[in-house]
Amino acid sequence: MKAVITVIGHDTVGILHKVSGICAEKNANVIEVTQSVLQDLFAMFMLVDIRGISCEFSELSEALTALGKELGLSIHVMHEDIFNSMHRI
Amino acid sequence: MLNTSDILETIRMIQDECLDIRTITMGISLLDCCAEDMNTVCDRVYEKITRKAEKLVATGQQIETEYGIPIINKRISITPAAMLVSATRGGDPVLLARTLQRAAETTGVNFIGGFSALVHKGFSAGPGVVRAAIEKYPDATIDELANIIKRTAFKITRMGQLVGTRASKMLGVPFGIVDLSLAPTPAVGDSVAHILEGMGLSICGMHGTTAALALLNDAVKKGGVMASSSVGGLSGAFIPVSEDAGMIDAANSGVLSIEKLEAMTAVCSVGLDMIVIPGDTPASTISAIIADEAAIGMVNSKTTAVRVIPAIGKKEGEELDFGGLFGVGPVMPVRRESAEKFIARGGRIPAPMQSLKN
Repeated sequence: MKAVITVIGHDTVGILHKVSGICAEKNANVIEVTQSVLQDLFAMFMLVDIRGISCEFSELSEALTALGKELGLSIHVMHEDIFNSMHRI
Repeated sequence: MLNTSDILETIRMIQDECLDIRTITMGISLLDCCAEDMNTVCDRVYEKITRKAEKLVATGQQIETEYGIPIINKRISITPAAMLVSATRGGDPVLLARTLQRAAETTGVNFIGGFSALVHKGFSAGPGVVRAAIEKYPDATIDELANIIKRTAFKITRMGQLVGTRASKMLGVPFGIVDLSLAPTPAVGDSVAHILEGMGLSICGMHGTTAALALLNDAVKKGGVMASSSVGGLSGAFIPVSEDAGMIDAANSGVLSIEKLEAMTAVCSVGLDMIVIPGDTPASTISAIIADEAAIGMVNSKTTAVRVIPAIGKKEGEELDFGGLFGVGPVMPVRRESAEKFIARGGRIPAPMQSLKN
């Protein structure tokens, strides 16, 4: 089971570090990362394996949302299924 | 890896364009709660609903977190309560109504109501997403517009299918159907009328409204049918006046009339819905409204209905407030002339020809 973490907002130092830090803490294995900075807008997509996470999914989601608030970024974590079902036939 | 623009599109639809799952509905049959004594019926009904739907709200919330998509209402649909009442020996229906209220409070659902068909899971989506999609292409031709709506309906329905199958699995009940309906709510940004206006009508109810609605309804079905293996419900655009901010405005401005709404029901899945009429409207006029609507249904082989609310003591131009999801309805003008003689004749209109059509 995989989830997609999206981070969007103003670029600052250490975003990737902090997000992946939470993943490591909750034992979510990062499989793939795509990141780009367009002008000042930072956008990162991270595919993580959540089969072995050490907490409930909701806890991971809350931790990331809290980090987003702290850094002034919009961070979401959603099951991969929702994107697959919406965009693939 | 998923395409990043696809990911962004989904997030934008949820964050900015009110994409949501309108309802998950659990159908519960109460036929086995029948008894002669009303108190026994109430005990059985309460026990069955609270047992079956115990995890409904929690399941909905879990899915909301996992997929990051809001589920607005968790509902329970039950066997029509009148059937249970008729099986008792003169039991007080109010007792049963109170029991249903208590069961709804215990389970924490937003709505409990009777069903006429077996619906295990129903879904519909907010109209905001469709309007946002249309507004991105102000210069699209009508056929391009149809394609845009189709694509959007496909995506929305896929989401409904995903959430529905997941919820059924978690609740241990068979998956029912995905309802392809665009169901408005009184919230701004959630209006079917605004979709029609987004297509280029200055106000819903203007000439062209019927054509725009026909286009919308058909495109929603075409997109949705491919996206789900089990489509059901009324499937199409709902046009309940009091539940749709755009319809309310259009009715208040006098542009949207009952006559125009009647024409609109000829091309979409529903009938005259949530229309408040003056309290002194004669019964024969209401009968005539129903007869017109039934004629549209019979001749066009489609489902239709009439839900008009005579607001006792209120006149044209005043408002009736239902609160919550049912919204606020302006009292709409009804023709003051008479259909009395026609209705008083009694009898029935013979079934229409189904061949030699043109």
